[in-house]
Amino acid sequence: MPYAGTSNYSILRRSDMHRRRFLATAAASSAAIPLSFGRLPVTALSGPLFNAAASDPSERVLVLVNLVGGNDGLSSVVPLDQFDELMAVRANVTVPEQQLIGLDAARALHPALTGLRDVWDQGRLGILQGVGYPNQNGSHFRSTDIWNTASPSDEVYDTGWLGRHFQRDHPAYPDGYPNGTHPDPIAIAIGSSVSETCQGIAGNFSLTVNDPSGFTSILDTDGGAVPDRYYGDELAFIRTTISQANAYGSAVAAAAGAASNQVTYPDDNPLATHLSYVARMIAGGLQTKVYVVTLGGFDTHAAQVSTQDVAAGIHADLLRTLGDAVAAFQADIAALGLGERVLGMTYSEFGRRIRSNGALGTDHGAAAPAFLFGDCVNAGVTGENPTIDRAVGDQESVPMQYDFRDLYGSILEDWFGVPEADVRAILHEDYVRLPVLRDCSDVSDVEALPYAGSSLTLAPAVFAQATRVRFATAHAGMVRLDVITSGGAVIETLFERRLPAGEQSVRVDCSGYPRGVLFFRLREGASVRVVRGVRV
Amino acid sequence: MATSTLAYPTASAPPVTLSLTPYTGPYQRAQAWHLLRRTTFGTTTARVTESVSLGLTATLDRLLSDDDFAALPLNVEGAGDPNVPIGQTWVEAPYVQGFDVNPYRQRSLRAWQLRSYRLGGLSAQAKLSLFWHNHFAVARDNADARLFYGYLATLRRHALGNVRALVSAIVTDGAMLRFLNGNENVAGDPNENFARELLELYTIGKGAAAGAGDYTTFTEDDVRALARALTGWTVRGINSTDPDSQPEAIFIARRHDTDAKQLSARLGGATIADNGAAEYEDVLDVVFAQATMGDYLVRKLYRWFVYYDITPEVEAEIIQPLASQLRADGFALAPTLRRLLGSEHFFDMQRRSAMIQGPIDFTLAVTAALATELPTDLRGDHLAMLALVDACGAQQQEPSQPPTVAGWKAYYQAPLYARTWINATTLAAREDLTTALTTAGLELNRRVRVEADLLGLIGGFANPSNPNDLIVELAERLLPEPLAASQVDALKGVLLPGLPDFEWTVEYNQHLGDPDDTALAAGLEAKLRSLAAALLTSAEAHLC
Repeated sequence: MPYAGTSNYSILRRSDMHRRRFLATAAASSAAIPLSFGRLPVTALSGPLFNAAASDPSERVLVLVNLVGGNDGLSSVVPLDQFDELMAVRANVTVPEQQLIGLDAARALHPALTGLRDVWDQGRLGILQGVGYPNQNGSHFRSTDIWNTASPSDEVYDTGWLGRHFQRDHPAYPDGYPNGTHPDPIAIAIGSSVSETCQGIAGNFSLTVNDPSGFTSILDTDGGAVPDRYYGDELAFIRTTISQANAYGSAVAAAAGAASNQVTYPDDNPLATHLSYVARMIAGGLQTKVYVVTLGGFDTHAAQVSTQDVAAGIHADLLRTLGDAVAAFQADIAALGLGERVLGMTYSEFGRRIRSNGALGTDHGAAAPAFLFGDCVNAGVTGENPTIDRAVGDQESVPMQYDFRDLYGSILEDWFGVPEADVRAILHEDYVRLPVLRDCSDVSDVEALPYAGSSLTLAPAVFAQATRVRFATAHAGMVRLDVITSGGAVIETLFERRLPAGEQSVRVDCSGYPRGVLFFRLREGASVRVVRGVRV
Repeated sequence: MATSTLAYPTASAPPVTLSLTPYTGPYQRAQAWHLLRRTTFGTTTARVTESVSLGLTATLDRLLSDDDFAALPLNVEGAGDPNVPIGQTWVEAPYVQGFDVNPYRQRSLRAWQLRSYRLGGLSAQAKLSLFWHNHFAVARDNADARLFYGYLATLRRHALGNVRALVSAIVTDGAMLRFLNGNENVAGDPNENFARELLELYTIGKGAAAGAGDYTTFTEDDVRALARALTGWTVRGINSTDPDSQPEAIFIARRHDTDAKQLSARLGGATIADNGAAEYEDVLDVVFAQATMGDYLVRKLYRWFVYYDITPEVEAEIIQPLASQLRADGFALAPTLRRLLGSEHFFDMQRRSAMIQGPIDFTLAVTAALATELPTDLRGDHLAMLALVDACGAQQQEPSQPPTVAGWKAYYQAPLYARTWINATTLAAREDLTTALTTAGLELNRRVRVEADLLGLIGGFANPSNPNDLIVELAERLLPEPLAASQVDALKGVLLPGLPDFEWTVEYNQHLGDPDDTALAAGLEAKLRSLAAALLTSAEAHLC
């Protein structure tokens, strides 16, 4: 286990953390928390002073947009070079090519994503293709847990990926929070549930905020010491939550009242409303690092598209909600002068199957694109279009190109300035940094995308006993070749070694592999290629 | 002394008991509050008194018997429905040309569902009905309300009965067939949605991943095989105006996959042969014959009734013996529940008072404890129930709206579990409810309000003229454990700011001497409401 020696953010199981006593001190401290706010109104923060602050990773904010239910990536970012194949396997949910919003020769957005097109046109949109995890679990709940906790698919973690990150700087949390140094919530989840991404060892780092201006304090009575049994544990938890809600709530209200949105957000768009709150809280000077907003309804097993118009329907409405909200938020952030401080990212528990079903819908799949937005995003599309086979099986999904933990890790490292060794401890030992951010400050040093020159082919593509993998690497370096199933399970790592630049060829004995679709996944640094084969 | 009957066990922790041996210790008010708060909604002091006089054994007999709630959802707001007069039930009444019957029926059903929980009396049927609603978590949609009524009635009918019979009924329930696309599951184009949840969420549960598509307890191939075995079911009669037709599940033989279905070794390698409309029973025979069938269910029941943290010791000493019993009893639920609820472990102080009440629990507990006068006329009662449903919804547990097919997160999501209910947003919503009940009232519409009647309530107390006894006795109704002396003093500061104790005694006795002095009564009621509001905003009030 890579985490064994890192006590600050070890991934504790429930058996380790239960009965942990953290409340007696928190309850005692609650009365002493002054309701003062160490911040200036936004007007005092604009101008050169503010830009100078932008280079400090501690000033940076991450906005997570959780698309709940599993977003259909193939309808969101359409691979134009596979369009005929898409029409062969999912015509009933595929928007006609002439209606799509072209990004470049090979990729287009769903027509409802006009908002994201605007962000793209500004050079503020990044798309990372094929984000997923090995051994995809088809369950919403398990898959959501995996994305929130960044666990391997066969392990259960009780802490969230951001919770483990926050735990580094706040080992005692929630004991003694808020305090003079940290008067604001570490993270904010808009809505009525804390975010599991922010679960720490002894407490969740996210404060729920429904309406930042609508704060009313909750009566906080001094109950004395708590008894040493489960009752005491739960009582302590509730008391801490009450005192934090009060202290943080007034800080949030003060920040939200100190700034105004600079653009008009779309009506009837709850995500836009929530992002408008986020913009105000950031502009108002809240020191919160992470905001989590959610948009549900992506579990489109049926009626994903309307019977009258394949470009309309549930999924189109969701994408329009997403794109319009992000576009308004991005415009507001720019107008507020916060562009270099704010990074946004979408995530969803899985994509959908390649083949659509008979109910104008799509079932649970595997990898899908992630959207990143902000001034510091490495704008453009990273990763390759998936290859769609007309003979694709009912159960097949878009295979993973990029491990979601590498996306998370790249944000921790390049956005929040977390040392690489810590990123490995927080996420996974095999972490590979991806070039998703560009150098908007002095922290990151992003390499050019290393794809040109690489290739990966399989011959024969249909095989019984053996096949041959050919590839070319542009640079000398570490190269790894995995064989994975259509479900994303890694069957075998064929090699992981340092290779010179140039052409390579490997014979692969497939006699022990399961019959059916297999993928060969080649990784060299941050570059990933996938080729599909079938064992018969 | 009034306080003598209120004695709780001491707060110092006794040895932890992990024994299912029948509890034979004292069964007094503290134990009765504990048992009834965990098994019924809106426990009242009268119910506790009744239970103490019955004793533990007879109380368990009552708890494990069906309640006498027989009311049906009634037409309150649908004056345009020619087939259903106001005050009559619509549950078998047809749709009507030219008048949309569904809006009034949906509202009636929302109110009825909460009423069914609120009026459950001394029976665990209501609490189990909500348990099953969370377990087979179908969300009410805007389709024909008769479907969702049928689903809720099925849950109630089998709540304390046999789990196997309940699952059978659910497999062919119209609302469930629609909810998980079972109605679109046809030969040649199987829809796996229901089959997956049948295994993963409803019966054996998902074990550890052992390989691609292998979840230890079942495999992806099993999901596909069971989906095929369940092909052919659909729902007809939705929105029908035919008075002789009800929405119902039907089996269409030509949509059924008649090929044999091979199950994996995880499910014993059985083959399901074609058996048409009865084939789902063959499926359930296989599932219920699994050696671990019951483990997952008993864990959920444990989390529902006892505490969310299942330690390895609890798994070994409590869960496994109960699951064995459930299997040995052919999945009859009551004996297993009786063993758990009557055990030394259940009454163990280590786990007493540690349940964070869910919003439905909290809402019904508070309204019952404050002797809240709810209107009893048809329309007033209907509006009151809807107001309470809205209050539950604001706290994130609207009955009929579980957020996902796995139910409410508080019952499955590690590591927070019940702590999911408590955050800055939901605490504010809980306070909105208690503030409304103890101030201007929960507004039902412009004319009707629901508010507390505390002066009436304390009239039944043992010693209401003594402020100390009064506070202790009111706290017994609202909090799970006795107040610390410092808390009693702080609350006396709310009841009698800066005044000596006798001022309360004097004024309360004046009120008894002249109950028609409405100004005096109003002053006392206001004081009592401040006291109740303070009690209800304590952290303790969220626990039971």
